Amino acid sequence: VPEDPVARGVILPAGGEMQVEGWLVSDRPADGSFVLWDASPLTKVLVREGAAGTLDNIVATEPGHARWEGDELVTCVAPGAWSVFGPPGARAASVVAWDERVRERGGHVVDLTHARGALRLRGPHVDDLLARLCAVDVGAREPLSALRTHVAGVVTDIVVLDEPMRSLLVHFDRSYGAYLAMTLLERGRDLGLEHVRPEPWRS
Amino acid sequence: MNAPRATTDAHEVGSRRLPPRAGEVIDRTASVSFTWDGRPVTAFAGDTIVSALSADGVRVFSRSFKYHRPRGVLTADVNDPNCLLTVDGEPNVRAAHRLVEAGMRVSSQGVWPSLRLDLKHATALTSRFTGPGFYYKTFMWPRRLRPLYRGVLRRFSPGGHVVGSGAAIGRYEKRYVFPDVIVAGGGPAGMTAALAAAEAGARVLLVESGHALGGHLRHGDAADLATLGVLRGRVAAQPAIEILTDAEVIGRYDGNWVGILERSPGGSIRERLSRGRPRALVVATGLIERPTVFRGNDLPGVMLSGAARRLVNLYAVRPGDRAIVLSSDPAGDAAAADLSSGGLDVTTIHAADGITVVAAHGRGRLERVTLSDGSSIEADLLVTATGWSRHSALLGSGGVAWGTAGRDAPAVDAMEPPDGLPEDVLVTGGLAGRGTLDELAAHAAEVGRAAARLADGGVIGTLSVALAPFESSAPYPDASDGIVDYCEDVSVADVIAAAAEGYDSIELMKRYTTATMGNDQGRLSAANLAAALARATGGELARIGATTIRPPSVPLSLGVLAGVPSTPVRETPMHAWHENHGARFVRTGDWLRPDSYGDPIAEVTAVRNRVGIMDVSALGKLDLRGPDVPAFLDIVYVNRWRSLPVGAVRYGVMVGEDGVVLDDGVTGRLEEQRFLMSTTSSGSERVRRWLEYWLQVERPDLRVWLTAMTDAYAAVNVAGPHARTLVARVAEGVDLSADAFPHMAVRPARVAGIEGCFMWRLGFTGELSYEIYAPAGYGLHLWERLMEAGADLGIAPFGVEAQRTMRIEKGHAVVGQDTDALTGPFAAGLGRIVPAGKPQAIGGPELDWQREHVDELPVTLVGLQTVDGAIVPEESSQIVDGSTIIGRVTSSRFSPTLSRSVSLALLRPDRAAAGSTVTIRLPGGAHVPATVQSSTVHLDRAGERMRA
Repeated sequence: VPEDPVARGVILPAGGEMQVEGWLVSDRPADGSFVLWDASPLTKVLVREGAAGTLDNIVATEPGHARWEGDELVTCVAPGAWSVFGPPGARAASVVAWDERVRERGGHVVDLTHARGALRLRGPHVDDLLARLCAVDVGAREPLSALRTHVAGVVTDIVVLDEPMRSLLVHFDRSYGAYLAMTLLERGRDLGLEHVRPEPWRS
Repeated sequence: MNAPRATTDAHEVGSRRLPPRAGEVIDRTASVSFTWDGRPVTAFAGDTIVSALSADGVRVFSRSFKYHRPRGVLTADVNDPNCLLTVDGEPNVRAAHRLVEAGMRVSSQGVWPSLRLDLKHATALTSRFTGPGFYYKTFMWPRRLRPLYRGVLRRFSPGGHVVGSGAAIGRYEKRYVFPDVIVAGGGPAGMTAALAAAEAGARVLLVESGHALGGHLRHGDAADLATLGVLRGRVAAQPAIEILTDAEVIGRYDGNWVGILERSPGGSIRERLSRGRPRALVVATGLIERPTVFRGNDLPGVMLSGAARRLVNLYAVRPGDRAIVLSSDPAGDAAAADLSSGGLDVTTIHAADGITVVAAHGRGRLERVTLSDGSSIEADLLVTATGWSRHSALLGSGGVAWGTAGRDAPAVDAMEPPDGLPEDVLVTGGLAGRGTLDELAAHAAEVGRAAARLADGGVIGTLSVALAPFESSAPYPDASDGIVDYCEDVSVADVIAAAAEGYDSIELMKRYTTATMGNDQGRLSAANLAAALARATGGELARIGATTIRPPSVPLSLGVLAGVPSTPVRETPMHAWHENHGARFVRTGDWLRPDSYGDPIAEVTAVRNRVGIMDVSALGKLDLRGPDVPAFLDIVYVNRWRSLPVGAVRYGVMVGEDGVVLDDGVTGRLEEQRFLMSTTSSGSERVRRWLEYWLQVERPDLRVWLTAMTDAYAAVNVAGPHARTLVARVAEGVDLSADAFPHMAVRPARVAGIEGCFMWRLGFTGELSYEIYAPAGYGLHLWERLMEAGADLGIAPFGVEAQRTMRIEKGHAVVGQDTDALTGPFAAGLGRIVPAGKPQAIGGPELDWQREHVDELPVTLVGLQTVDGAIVPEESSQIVDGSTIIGRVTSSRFSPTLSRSVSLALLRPDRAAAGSTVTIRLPGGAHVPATVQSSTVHLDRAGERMRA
């Protein structure tokens, strides 16, 4: 057991291991174009507004949408709460920065990096795969839209990224991650879905 | 499956194969070999199983349901009730529809010893005594013989059986589809409607039951084929149309929720259930040919005109040599022309001439036909074309009624507008009325455009094209014999007999005779059943009505309903380690938790004598922050919280407004305005909702932020005499001495190199115990470091079962197991933590009442010990006083520490005095004595171990 702590995401690494900011992830390169990778190392921060006032002008992201703010992706699936994603290893800085921005307006910030699991799905069959597991037509959603729905019976938030091709960020309560990842890989096998090494955030 | 073998010798493939036909769908360049009841058969790619066997001269494909009469082709399509076969272990395959594949093993089903010589046909000899209701009257008594009856009757069922595990059948999938418009039926009307809708901007899903678009045009004449070619070309060129062939819409539910069965959609998928909610559903399922009823109408060789035309025109099969065509419909004349062109000797009888068929004769197959003029003609093929029924099962199953006289009442010749047609459902094609191909196409196009308007948020509007009312050309049967329902072997005589017994309504007739309840779901039999009932009762056909049609409107396999098994489970961050070390898991809510690692007794011993670690990550965790958290906790817990200092932990119990225990757990004050609450694993979501309700609805004035953090932390319980030694090896920045870090305290710490951990001095086992919370991603690292650091201390992992034993030894109650839906804190032995006169607590008045009437509570929780300590009463065993139940055992295990049983029980207070003896009634009836203990705690009542 190494002295230095190592963090794990929601899927056991396949085809070799590598570390990203102290997180152990798969080092398997992609053979095809339809890929899934464990995005759990991403920084994840929850920003909420309180009864005292709105944060709309500060966070500037409407429900059902997402937007980039520098290296951070600000997403909103319900009024009054925003999930902010940033590169791995930036959680302390992100919490501090957001806390400074919203504290005066009665907002509240919680670090959910370890509480939420995240997966990235990218490739030409993303919509076909989701249609097997999700009753919402994700394929009809525009880039930078966000929604909360069930995927394989698990409450899941989906953000449509589509850069440079059809691409989703899905996130969920971490403990469902292994089940959800296995289900996606199993149901996507005939579509060529493969578990690969993570690509850089905003690649 | 092997690839088809190319061949140029057509004569190898079937002795009854015709020369090439204009519309044939077989590929004569590719032969396919399969076996039929063990015998090799060669077919062409594109053949159905039945067309291939027919080309090989096979006439009998099955035996009838009740009397095991031989049965042959009737419709030669997916609706054919006589051609259910077993294919590669998959029973009840619709062989008149399933295409041949190389290597297929096809067999008849439900026959003994063979299809040709089925001894079960002997039941026909007893037919005089086995009329309708025979089963109900005969196999009811004596009751004890019912299992025997069931076994015998099942042996006589012609339904097939899954061979082996069924894995060879293939996978069953489900998916969602998202079109704007679904068109059910890919005939000319359906194609035209789909085209119009797509050209108007809608995304269309066109669903056709056949293997290709076209409906009746596929087996039509040259003009039909030309029309079909044009339509297919236009559909193929329209990118907004997705085509599903070999598929059927199975039902339309509220909100236009539509299910579609796809057969063999690709790969190893046997069937797929697609579901969608289109803005508009266009039903263009057309008409279905109705069998004619006369004596012997189920003999092999008697078939509908559509069957004859499909065999001849699609598969180039010669279905007989000497044919009689009974025609009262243009389809009969077309069939006669097709048969003639195939070289058959054809005699056409026009019903309009006043002559009809009275009986068909033959031993196992058609040999002769008797006509109403008394003449008799030798024939091996009798084709009937005497009428059509609306193929309305889809609409009917969605609650749509046709006119006032019933949904399928065959006497309603005029096509009235359907009653109750939902606003998002449109009907076109033959189902909507009568017209030429051009008139039907104009109607379908207008319907398609209306569907597109609906999809775009508009309304249907008024359709300018109207079709003529549907007219039935069927001469309704006047026969006294003949099969009405092929699936259930119900004859006209059966209907007459049932009506004589008083079953004179169509719904009663259906249930008594089982007519229309077979695998065709009444598509072929409903009209003839109504006609036969009208004749039997002397009533008017128009008043007979129709049986209720229920979804699904298409027979489904259980496999496709189930789909891919997929039950969400939650795993802790250490799950992989547990799996790799032989853990047996128990499900708690959605969580999978290690129940044991093989020997829970040894795990208890390890904890009591050395040190053990348990994965308690599944415990619910709620983060509460804000200045008003103590006030909020005072409301939701029965005990006081304002005085809790930073670094301290307190046990709390939640009750509802009725004073019944909801959940329990500990809450620690991490910082001045930050608390972390733990809940039971399965109760965490319920507690979160409860707290959110109180924050959002009852007390929105409180400044409290509540966040579910169950998944944020991995949690490990380190318990046992060596727990402090072990923790000291991995923890930094915390004084572990008993004085500095006492029982019921919490400290921030760096553990195993992990920042941001919390350590709690508490546990459920009664031992010196710590719970270490680490950010979840580091859970496995923490676990492995603890196992490594404790190797010389004799560390062992322990699971839920060992913990359960130890918590019973310690007398800790579990909410939901040692309490029930009426148990308050006083009955659960927790009255000591409920302060008197505490304001604001939920359930306060109820708690006051419980305190004042503690002796009148229905039960109280006690410790119990069997007099014979070797006897471990099963949980939920009753505690009895004579015939009166005075309590029940709620938790019970054998304690390896005490070498005797340890139990908790809910017992009537007047029988719960310490030292009194009660009687436990074990499952099976044995009675054993047990002694009520002075406390629920069996081990270490002073708490010296846990406070060490």
